[in-house]
Amino acid sequence: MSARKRRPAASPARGLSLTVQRFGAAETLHVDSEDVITFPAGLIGMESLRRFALLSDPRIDPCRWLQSLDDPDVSFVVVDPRVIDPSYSVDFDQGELVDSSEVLAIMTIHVDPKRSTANLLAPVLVDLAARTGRQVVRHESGYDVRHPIAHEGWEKR
Amino acid sequence: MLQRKTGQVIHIGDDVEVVVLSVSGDQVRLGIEAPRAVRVLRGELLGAIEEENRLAASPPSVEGVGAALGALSLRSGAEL
Repeated sequence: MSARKRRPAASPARGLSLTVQRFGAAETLHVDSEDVITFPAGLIGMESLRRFALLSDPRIDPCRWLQSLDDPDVSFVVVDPRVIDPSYSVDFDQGELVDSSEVLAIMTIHVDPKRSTANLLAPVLVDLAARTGRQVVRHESGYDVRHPIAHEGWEKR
Repeated sequence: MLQRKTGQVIHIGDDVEVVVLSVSGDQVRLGIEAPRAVRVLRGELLGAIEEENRLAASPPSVEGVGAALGALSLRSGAEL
């Protein structure tokens, strides 16, 4: 058997394992097949990344990881946009949002907390029942691709 | 490359129409009709989103996440 580049091991019946970098250390994740979320169009600018998992992690709660299963080095910190802006509401068509829909904002984390932002302009829409997802752009919404998560009066605890 | 005059239309595929609304100096106003499922975006906006996705994809540091969570918990108050 020839040497193969290490990539996520697939076990059709149960799921897959992949090794990711978390805060400077390698961690192995196990994802059940039924938890895989398919993004038919990938993400904007990353159209080839089609499979993701939405993972909880107490270290980043209330945020979660949107982990690429195609590229272990690609993981996003995502959060319910209403945590950042309680009045967040984006104009969706009737039928675009269903009971099993979740809207997630991708966060860009900076070491300088004043520079961390969330992409409220192009949220990720996930259908947890259908296990599908896509990134949508709401340019009429007036929201920013870099919406600051810190606000006036914010101080580091 | 197509040349159009004000008021003329271009059809893209079955569902997309572009019409030249007006031309003034080097600025063109375009009207675009497309299904909602077809993304219509200014190029620089698409570029900004692609860039932000790229930046967001790299692993965050412990310090960055800690500070970000601090900011979020202050935003949502006691709920968290």
